[in-house]
Amino acid sequence: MKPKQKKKLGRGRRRFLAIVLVPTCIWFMIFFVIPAIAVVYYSFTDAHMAYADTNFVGLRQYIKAFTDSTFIIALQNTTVAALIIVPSTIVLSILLAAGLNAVGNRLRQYLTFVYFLPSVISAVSISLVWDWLYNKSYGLFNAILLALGLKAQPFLTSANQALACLCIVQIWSIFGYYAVILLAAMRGVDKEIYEATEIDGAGACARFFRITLPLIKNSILFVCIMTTTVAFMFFTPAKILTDGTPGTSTEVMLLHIMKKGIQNSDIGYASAMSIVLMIIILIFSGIQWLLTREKKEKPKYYKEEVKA
Amino acid sequence: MKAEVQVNKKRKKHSPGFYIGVAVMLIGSLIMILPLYWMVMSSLKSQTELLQMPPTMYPHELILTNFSRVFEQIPFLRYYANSLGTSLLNTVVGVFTSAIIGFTFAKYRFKGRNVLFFVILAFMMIPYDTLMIPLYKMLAGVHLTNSYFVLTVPFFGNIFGIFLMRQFYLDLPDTYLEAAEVDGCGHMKRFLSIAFPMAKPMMSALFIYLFMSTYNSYLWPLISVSKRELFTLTVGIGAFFSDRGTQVDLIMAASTMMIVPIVIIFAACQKNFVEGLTVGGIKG
Repeated sequence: MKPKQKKKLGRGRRRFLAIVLVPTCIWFMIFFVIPAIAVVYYSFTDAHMAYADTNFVGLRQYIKAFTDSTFIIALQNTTVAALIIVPSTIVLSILLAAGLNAVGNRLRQYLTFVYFLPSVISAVSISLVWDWLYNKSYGLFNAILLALGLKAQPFLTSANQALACLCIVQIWSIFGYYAVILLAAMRGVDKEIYEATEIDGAGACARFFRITLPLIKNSILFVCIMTTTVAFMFFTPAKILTDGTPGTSTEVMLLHIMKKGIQNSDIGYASAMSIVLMIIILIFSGIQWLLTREKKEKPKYYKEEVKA
Repeated sequence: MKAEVQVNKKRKKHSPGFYIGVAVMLIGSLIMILPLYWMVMSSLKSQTELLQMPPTMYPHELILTNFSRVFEQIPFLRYYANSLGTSLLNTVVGVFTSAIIGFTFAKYRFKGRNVLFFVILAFMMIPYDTLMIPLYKMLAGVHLTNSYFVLTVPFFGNIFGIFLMRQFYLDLPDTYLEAAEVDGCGHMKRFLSIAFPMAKPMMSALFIYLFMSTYNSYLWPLISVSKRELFTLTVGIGAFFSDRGTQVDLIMAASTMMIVPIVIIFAACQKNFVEGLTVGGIKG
């Protein structure tokens, strides 16, 4: 009886694996592997939606990208946006997480709800209401500025202010989310460690910087990588609020890639720019990953120092 | 010693820094709510009241027709149905495939398992937005863009979901499954009747994560669909805004109708939402 059953299971096992793995592999090939190979391949060709034939052009698309002034501007704008978004999001989310960690349950629940709210709302809706808030003539922000006796600002219609305005929208919509992630990490820190330092007489600030932060380093690293990716993939607010205007002051990389690839049907060129964007993100994630890996020993050191 | 600690704790509770922090967070919470408050209030105002300077903090004359006018101007119900329908389908299928694939990777040994899993994981590093252009060209080449196909099938699997469910099943003791083997249960039945129901808490988090990320997705539907009747809410409202951006009352009404159901559900099950969305680590 037993061998027969085993044999049956063996055959059933192979069938089960086939039922699961064959569709998985096909789906994965179509939507991941082939596009990934295609984006590399197209970036070396003059592929275009309108023409059937595709010719190999070597590095011409990459040379075109780095001699295209709009692409350089988009690269600069995206870098500036990342330099604004990443540090402010990280600082704000750490501070908010520390604050949420300190307050009682009731208050924390309310505050978490409010700060997390933008994370459940589509970026399109968020962009639309911020557009109205930023409105030069009838917007709430200018009404407040005027009420305070200050001058009305052009906001999105000014080449100097537009990019910063978009970054504010992005920071507003993501930092509460990362604060919740960091809060979970902070609450995971062993309470004993805090009690030990309380006896040592370490102040709240010292405790926060010397114990909490090093202990949640990995979560902070995760937030750094995520926000860097979000910043370089900046798209929806830029598309809805300004679409790159005024001039090219808010033209960000993904926006430029989609304009060239979809509106101008220039697949080859858009692919080359996609590769550049992908490499930038992989480099930044890699650097951030290496940076915290080196200092992995530190939390242990602090832990021991505290306990000693 | 003990008394000292107690005193310390008491002082901490009453320290001015604590209250300043709470005050800052409370003021901050108003700033977080303000845009949403403004959206809802603007959707209830008349066009003339909207263009009043200084603006009114709440509608002095309540206009409810803004909502019905949205339905007259754009096929809003269609967008709604498209968004809800595709999100629900994608999520249900996505949760199931994540569970069964994750289960297979966790509980079966087969040739090339580790290599295959490593390759799948490696794709988590690549931002998917950079692969959309070639995918669009490919699908356009076989005339699949502008169809429900592009709004659904690409979302039928989710690498993160597979990863998450594999972690879950790795932690699940084999003894549960061995009992089923003795009973002479088939492999598929073993998964469906034992392994699948056990993952309920993890799947509910994954459900919320997948649902929210497809419901709010914008870039892919924007590039892959150009027929109006296939528009999702995000694309439809975005297009409405670029067509008639000056009709703030209607834009805000459409926007309010899009987010209010989600916000209400979020308020009702805040814990599940926070869990579900932070488990993904990615905001769509």
